[in-house]
Amino acid sequence: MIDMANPFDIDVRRRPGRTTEITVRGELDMATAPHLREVLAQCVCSRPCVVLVDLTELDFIGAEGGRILAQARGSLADDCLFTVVTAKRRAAWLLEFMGVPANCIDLVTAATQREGMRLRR
Amino acid sequence: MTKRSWTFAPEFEDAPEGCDMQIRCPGMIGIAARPDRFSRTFSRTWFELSPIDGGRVLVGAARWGPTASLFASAHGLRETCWSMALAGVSPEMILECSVVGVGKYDVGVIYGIVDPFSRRADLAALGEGATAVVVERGRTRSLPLQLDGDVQSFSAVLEHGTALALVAHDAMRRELVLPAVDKVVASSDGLAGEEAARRLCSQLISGPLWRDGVATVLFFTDDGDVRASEAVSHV
Repeated sequence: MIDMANPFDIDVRRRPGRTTEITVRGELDMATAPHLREVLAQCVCSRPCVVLVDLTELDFIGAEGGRILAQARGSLADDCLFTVVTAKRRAAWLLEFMGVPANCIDLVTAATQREGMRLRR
Repeated sequence: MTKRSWTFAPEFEDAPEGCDMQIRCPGMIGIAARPDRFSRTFSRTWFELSPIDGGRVLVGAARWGPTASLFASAHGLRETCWSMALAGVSPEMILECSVVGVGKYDVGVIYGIVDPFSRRADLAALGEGATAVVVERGRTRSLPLQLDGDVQSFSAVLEHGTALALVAHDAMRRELVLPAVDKVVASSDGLAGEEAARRLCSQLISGPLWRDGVATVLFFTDDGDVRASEAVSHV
C-alpha cells in the first residue's frame, strides 16, 4: 500500500570500505517487500563488509519486511557487520523479535545534538 | 533467539484490477482491497495479509470512522497485531490486547489466522462494522459474529473451493454486505474459482462499500493437500 505523504522508496549508496547503506522509506509490507528483497540480494552478492539498513524514515514495517531482513542477515558472511537503524522503539523490538538486532535512535535528540555541534563550531 | 521456519511462505503477485494486493500460497490465494488512496478514509483503513510461521497466514481488515476514539496510529496497531500473531497469540487475544480501547462504535476490525493446508480459520472481530462471509458451493452465509461491544471469535474448517470474505465497513452499511456478496455470486456462476474470488473483492469495494471499506477475500484452492504431502515426503 502506498502512502501519499511518504511513498515507498529504497535508496542504495555504496561507501568506501565495501560499505553499503540502504535507506527504506514508506510502508514495507507484502506489496513492497519484494523490492527490498531484490536490493538485499544484490547487496549480498557484492560481499560487503558493512551493511547499514536505515529504517528511520519507514512508516510501517510488516512481518514480511522483518522476515526479509532476517533472511538477508543470515545470508551475509559471518564477518560482515549488518546494522539496522530505526527511529521507533516498537519497530526495533519487532525486529529483535524476528532475530534482527536493531538500533533505535531518537531522531529529535540526534538532530538537536547535531544543531548544537554546528552552533558551537 | 528463536529460529523460525517459513515453509511455503506466501508469494506476492500482481494485484488484479480494482484490488491492492494478491498473495498465493499452496492451498490458498488472498486478495485485498481498500479505499482509493485519495479518499478521506484511506488513512483510517488497512488490511492484513502476512505470513506467520508454520505456513499460516494472518489476515484481516480494519476501518474506523471519524468519531472513533483511536489512541494509537494505524501503523502502530498493525505492527502490534502481526507481532502478537507471530508470538502465537490468538486473534481474539490480539484484538483484546491491542484494539479494544478504540471502542465499538464506528469501528470494524476483523482478524484471523488461517492455515491453508487444513483450511482452518480462527477469526475474531470487534465493532459493528465487521462482517465475515463464507461462500461455499455457490451459497453465502454470514459467520455468527454477534458484535455487542466485546471481541467475538469464531473458528471454522472450510472446504476446497470455498471463499471467505472479511469485510470492515461503515456500521450503517452492515445490512448491505451479505446481499452484495449474493449479487456477485449470482453473477459469477456460483463463485467457483479464483477469478470469481478476485471479482468478489473488487466489487465489494467498488459497490456496497463505496470506496469506504476494506475487504480481504481468501479462496481455498485444491493444491494445498498435494503440497502438504510433498512436504511430508521430503522430511
